[in-house]
Amino acid sequence: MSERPLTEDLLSALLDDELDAATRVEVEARLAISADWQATLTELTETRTALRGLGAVDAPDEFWERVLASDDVVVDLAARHGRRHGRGRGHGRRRRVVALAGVAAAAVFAVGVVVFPTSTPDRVRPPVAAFSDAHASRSSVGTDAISTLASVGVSRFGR
Amino acid sequence: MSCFDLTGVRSPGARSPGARPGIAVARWVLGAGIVLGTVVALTLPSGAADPDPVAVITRTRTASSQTTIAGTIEVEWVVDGHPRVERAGARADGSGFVVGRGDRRAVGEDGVRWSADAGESIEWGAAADAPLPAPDAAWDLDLGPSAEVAGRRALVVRARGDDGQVRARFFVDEVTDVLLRRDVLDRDGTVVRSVRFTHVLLAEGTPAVPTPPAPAPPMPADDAPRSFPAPDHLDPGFHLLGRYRHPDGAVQLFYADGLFTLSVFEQEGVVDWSGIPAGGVRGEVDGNRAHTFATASGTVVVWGADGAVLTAVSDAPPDTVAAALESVSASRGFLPRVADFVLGPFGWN
Repeated sequence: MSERPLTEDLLSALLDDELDAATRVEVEARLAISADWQATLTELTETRTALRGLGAVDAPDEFWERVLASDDVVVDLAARHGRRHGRGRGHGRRRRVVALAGVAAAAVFAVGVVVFPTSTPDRVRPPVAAFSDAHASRSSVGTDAISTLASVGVSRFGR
Repeated sequence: MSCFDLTGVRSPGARSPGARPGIAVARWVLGAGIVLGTVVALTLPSGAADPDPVAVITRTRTASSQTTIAGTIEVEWVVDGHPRVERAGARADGSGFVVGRGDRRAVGEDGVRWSADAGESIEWGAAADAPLPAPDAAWDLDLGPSAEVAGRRALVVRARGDDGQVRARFFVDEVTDVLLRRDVLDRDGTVVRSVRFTHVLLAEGTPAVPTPPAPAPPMPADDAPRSFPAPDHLDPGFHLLGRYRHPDGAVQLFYADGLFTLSVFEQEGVVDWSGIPAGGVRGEVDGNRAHTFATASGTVVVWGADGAVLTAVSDAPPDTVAAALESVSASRGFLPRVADFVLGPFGWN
């Protein structure tokens, strides 16, 4: 583990409680000495919390109009941002523009999630044990059947 | 009391006083024949009379299904450097066979395989598939010292890779050609998986084998969908023998190299990791999350890529499986980096 780089995948696995005991100890040790990775872990945790807090939303009747309008706003705000920047407007104003743009982007994202949910690929649970048996079954045709199928007759994963 | 001078120089005392010249000539010819025979025997290759290892393995492909036999089988495999052992019974009566224990049984008859555990019966269309490669198509075979398995004398056929290392051993009954034991070894020569008879009974009185129920054959997939690349060849020596679409929609690509087999199951979607067996080793294939398991069937690898869920199962040595999966990745346009990950469950990393 000492040679394995810390990754967001490992942090995700830590949050999902998917790490074995040894790896967990090592990941936590790496976290203890790295403020950057602690911040990353905090971000991951907050993101997960935020996402899990999202409920299903029915789009209101005027949703499309608002989305279209927000799209215009994005364009207008970006153009306006360039002009204002050129005129030396204040930093607080720019932050508001960026925030509005973020809201608009989130709205576009929401359209993808709420209006077009079918674009999400299906989550598949591969039947690993059944696949193992199917493989042994096919392998036993035309070759020594008993030794090839022995795995079907025992606990495949040793439990 | 006759005495032969094999050098052809007659000893004064070797011939009886009353011996006739014709008898002496006959004795000389006989002696010369013995010398010649001895020389020929000594100059012939010592293994000339040994069985051909390819023929020995070829005969095992049908021996167990044509022999009346009963016995106990032990499957041993290695997980994280620790051995696991499971036992099952097996019997065959020439027309069919059954392997298993309790409700977990596999019954076979010709090309039909029925799993009592799953309650499914499948008739594989082997006749329409590509033929199984020769046993030495991808491996160098030779005979090792004979051995004893479950009280029976066995020929030992060894399979060597390109590096000359023994990667598998096949113990074949000298009388019946039944495969009594099969070992798969890692690169260091350690046995990572072994299937072997521990008791064998050869008799006409072995119990009857149940008849499989009516089969529900998988729908043959004449051609894999475009989203599922099906390379005809996977490194180091696997050839595509058949492709099948199962009732749940999964496509199975079946490969063999003459000694080992490999299946790649492909489903559309993304992996729901909460549904895979616990354990195994987590890693990455092509930058995507993956899990690999060492099981009684061999090596199992699950990963997702490009909108597909892939599950590979193989009884080949783990590094051979890794090489094959690199071909799978390459065929899908990914940079293959799977070797170390696949070898993980065997404690080599």
